[in-house]
Amino acid sequence: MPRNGTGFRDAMDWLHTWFGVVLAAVLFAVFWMGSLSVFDREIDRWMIPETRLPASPGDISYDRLLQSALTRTGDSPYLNFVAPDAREPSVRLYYETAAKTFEVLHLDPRSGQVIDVTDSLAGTGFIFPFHFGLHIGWADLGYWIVGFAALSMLLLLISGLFIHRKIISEFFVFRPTKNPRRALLDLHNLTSLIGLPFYFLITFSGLLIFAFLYFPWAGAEPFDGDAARLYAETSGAFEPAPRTGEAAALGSIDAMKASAEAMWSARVDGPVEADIVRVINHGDASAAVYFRSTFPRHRVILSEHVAVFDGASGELLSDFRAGPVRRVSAWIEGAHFVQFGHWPLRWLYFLAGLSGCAMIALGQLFWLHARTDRSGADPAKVRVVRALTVGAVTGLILATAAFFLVNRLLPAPASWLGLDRAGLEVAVFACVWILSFVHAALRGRAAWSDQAYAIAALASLAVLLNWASTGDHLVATATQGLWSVLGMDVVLLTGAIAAATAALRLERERRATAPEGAIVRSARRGAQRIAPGTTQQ
Amino acid sequence: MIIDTLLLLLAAGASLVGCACLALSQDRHLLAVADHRRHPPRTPRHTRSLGWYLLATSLLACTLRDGGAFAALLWPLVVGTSAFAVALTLTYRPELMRPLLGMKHDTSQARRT
Repeated sequence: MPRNGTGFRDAMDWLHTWFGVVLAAVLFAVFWMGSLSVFDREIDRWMIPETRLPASPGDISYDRLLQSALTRTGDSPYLNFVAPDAREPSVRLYYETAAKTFEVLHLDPRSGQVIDVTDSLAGTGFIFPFHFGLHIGWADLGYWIVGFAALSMLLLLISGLFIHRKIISEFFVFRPTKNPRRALLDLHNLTSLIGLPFYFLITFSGLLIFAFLYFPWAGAEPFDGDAARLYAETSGAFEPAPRTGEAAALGSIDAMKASAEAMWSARVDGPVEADIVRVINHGDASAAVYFRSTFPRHRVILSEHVAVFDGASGELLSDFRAGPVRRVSAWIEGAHFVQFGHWPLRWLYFLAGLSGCAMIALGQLFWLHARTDRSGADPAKVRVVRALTVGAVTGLILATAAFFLVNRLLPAPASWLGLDRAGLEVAVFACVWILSFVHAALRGRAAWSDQAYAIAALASLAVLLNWASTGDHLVATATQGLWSVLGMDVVLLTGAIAAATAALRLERERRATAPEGAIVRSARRGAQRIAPGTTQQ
Repeated sequence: MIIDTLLLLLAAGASLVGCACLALSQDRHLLAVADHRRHPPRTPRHTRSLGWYLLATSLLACTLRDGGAFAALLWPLVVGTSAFAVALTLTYRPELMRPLLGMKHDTSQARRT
């Protein structure tokens, strides 16, 4: 299967094979976490049960929320409210503490009370940032690795098209009854082709989101290195004035919000709502209130409108609408973030992301099968790549299932070795992931079915524990309209069934294709040494 | 709301049948689906065009439902899902596609006689 010629297709084959094998683990992780991120707020509802509130009707009062929040935060220079919606019925508040760190609070939008929530990073705090930064913050290395993988993904997609000779004639072909290599290649090609427009869009838009990280000169040169002016002119970022030390009362945030929304709605056809309400330098004369419409419900474009008001007087300080060039890139980014209110489309994004995961995993499996010796003695490179693939694919899924499971197990005041409860959840994820690589190294081909069984077990347990710890079983969530929790439970159960089915078939195949276990093989070899020629080959 | 649901069903259905037609316009898939005793396999003449028209109908339905912007995102995913469904059907349950063949074959038989 590996080609040794020097033509263009051979070069594309070499490129596709090498970049694929080396980057499959990173790409799978990005696609897996990305697929889950489509439903990151739903994962939040599942992992932070106190926020499983019924959807709040009508308008809420940010003035009242602010007063309630201040009792917990104290006077803070940065208080950022995220407006509630159907997916997130509570109000999330990010605020800066006296120690210059950022914390999160959840508020009940109707009563204004602070909700005592389970300490968990959950979907928006762990799954989503993993997707674009791998949680490797040192020197932005995570962003660079993901960026390099994304650029390589584009190369992989294009080189794959050049290698695949019969794109049209074999578009719908899948031959599982033939040898495994044929079946794997067919399925790899199929999953690649059916999602090709999606993979190009997602990868390109993902790269565009971090364009200024990869090409800082693109932003620096036009503005002579003035980053504040760059972000002010492209995104309406507001540079807060330094605190004057002079106390001043804040005007009505609700009135300012209504005024901002009226202004925006008049500019485009249709109502525009502010989903970010940020109070800057609260209590000071330099206080300002920043409003942004980040994720409109019925448009693809994001962060188009920003308005800033003076805190004390309510005077409009900044009325920003993204310029034409920014609107183009914001549309492409909006197509990646997929936060608009189109449910069929969001579910299709989730499924397309999973098909991307399948495509990547199948590519690796094909590489492994193409180099597997039939007698069972795999060369070292195959054993190493197999162990890494098992850890990167089933190991990552298993670690995610463990992350969800441990969330339902840890008590509220859990703390160990200096880690708080949220940190412990992440530690369990990391440990299970690392152990999955170790397990894969020790078990070889059997590791696939082992880990698939484990995924089925953990995912089912997670659903059961959700029922046990919160009482929100499938019927309860369906009748109460808690769609986030219902969706999460259904996906967990579907995943468990799929994993169990896969594990059973993998085990059956393993027994069929390698009927001689290691013991039998070594026995045969021993007999050959003692009496050569007496055993059959 | 009802219209939205109907348009989505139309988009999905047209895409599914359209992909099926495109698959059946290829000899290897026709052979896999056709019942050799009653219908000797011949490449149906207008199946491929019908397939493309159905995919275009699906795009139109998506555009009518949500406008061009969302249709640009939705339609490729709908077609991709349909293509996947057709590929799996051809592999595991090819007989499910025989009704489509029945319609086309009668036309070509009538034309011959």
